[in-house]
Amino acid sequence: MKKGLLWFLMLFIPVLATPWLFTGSSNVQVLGFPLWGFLALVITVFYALFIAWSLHAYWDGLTGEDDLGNTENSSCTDVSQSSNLDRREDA
Amino acid sequence: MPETGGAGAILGTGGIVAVGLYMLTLIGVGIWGRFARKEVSPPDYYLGGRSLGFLVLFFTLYASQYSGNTLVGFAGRAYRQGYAFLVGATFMIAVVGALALFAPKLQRLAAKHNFITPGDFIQHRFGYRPLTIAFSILGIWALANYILSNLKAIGHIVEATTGGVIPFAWGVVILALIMVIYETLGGMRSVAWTDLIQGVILMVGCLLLFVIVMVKYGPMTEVAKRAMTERPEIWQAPSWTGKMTWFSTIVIFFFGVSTYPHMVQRVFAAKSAGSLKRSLQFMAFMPLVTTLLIVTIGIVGAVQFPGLSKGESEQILMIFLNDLGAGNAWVGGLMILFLAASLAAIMSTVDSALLSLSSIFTMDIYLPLKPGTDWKRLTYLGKGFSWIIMALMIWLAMILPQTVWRLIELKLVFFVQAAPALLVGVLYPQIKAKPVYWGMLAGVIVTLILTILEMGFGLLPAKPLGVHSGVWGLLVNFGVLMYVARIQRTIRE
Repeated sequence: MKKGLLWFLMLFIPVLATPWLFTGSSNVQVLGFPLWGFLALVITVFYALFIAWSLHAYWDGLTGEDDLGNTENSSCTDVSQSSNLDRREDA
Repeated sequence: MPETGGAGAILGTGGIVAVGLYMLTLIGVGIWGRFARKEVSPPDYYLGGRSLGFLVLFFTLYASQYSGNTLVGFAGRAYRQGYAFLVGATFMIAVVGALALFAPKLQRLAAKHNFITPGDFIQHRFGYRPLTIAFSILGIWALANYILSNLKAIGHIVEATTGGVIPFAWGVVILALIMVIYETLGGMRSVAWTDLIQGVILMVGCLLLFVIVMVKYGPMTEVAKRAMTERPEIWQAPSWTGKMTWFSTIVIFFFGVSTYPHMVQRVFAAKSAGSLKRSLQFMAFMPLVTTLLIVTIGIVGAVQFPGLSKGESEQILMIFLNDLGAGNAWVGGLMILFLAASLAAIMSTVDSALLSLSSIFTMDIYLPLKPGTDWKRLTYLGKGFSWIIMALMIWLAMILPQTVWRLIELKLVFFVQAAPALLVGVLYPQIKAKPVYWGMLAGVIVTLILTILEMGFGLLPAKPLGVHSGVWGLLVNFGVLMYVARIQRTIRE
């Protein structure tokens, strides 16, 4: 799964839990919850499972191989503004 | 009949002694943490020497994510909003969803480059001091507000449960002292180990309360029947504005709470990638056994005890306990457990936020000004900062007028503007510093304008179209970020 798709799903699945299609009141109850609330809970449980599965299946992909974002990558590198870390190592 | 501490006391003298012993245990754990230290250095003090294994890491993440708001605020909101506050479980899981995206890479980078604060990562990644400073300021704002609001809550809880035997001010001072003592003794180790105790108490407290409420007032199918007829307003699906608020709350928790500095530092403190991975996998399910249970209790309360004011609804768990019969010895024990769970939820958040705040002052503000400072001195300075910050917070908790408190409650809508820096920093290496910086500034300005228009002039509702001002700010933040990044790319090409 691509990084972008994983990003999308992580934010999209909980948004799905919002009861967009339900309005007003209904007498339908499932296990003591209104139907819209029960469906929201089902999606929420699925979301928890999806997160746990994603961490299991894509951990290596999520850690990445690249050592991104050191100051060489930045267009705003200012040698006089070395990182805290560099200062600490100097110390 | 338990002896009472004072007029209207919920906790008897025996209960006060039991809670006192619990507090002494926390200091004992602090001393234990002090003897377990490997060296006097900021990584050892602020990150426990990056030695947190699965069990401790999981419980410190858990206890830090759940504050006093979980027990008091969430139950009260569920009472007032009814089933619509089921979103509480969703947004707490969304926090873990966001962590799952950036924590794996951030943990690897932190171990490789010895990051101590989130500001270290921002500076290393973007190399742009103004961005690091802006990020740190937003972090300080969020953490200071977190400490302040929780200290105030702790004072009220102590005063209410002891019937005024321990007044608000003394409650704040005593518990703040306990926290700063065990934190100074062992730093992150003490905080994480006490979080383990506090996390277990919080989890057991929530489960026990839920089971008792269900046995006595349930089952939920009966509650549902009564809700449909007696409280139809809490049964029906949220309005369009309510749905937008539902969606907006998920967004603000996804981006904001996951990037809180004390949460990020727990990622840095992981012993290994494996311990972090397992902790996050378990964390994904914790809202189902914590938030969801508290929300359900609040819904049952809405049917069982209708007509409470907003302030009274925040006491719904206490109302349940009182209704169960204050004279029964087992209810007395349950009240002690409830108080311990409330204190645990608050203290585990305050101590984490305090340690994180101390690290930001020491490593992100002091060290760049005095780059030659050795690690031993930095560690002692950090401990000193913890005491100064806590003293300042105690003072502010006592003197701030109510009008200022309303502003302080707005921590998340402003802090969420810092989230893109961390997320984009970890996940999108092609984005440079300036798009992130201008996006953050634009997001803060938009949020500030919306807040002023609402609070200062009453021209806007608190959530325009049901969406938090911080989410409007975040939209502008990402928009500016992408626009400036595109301009930079065009210039380069």
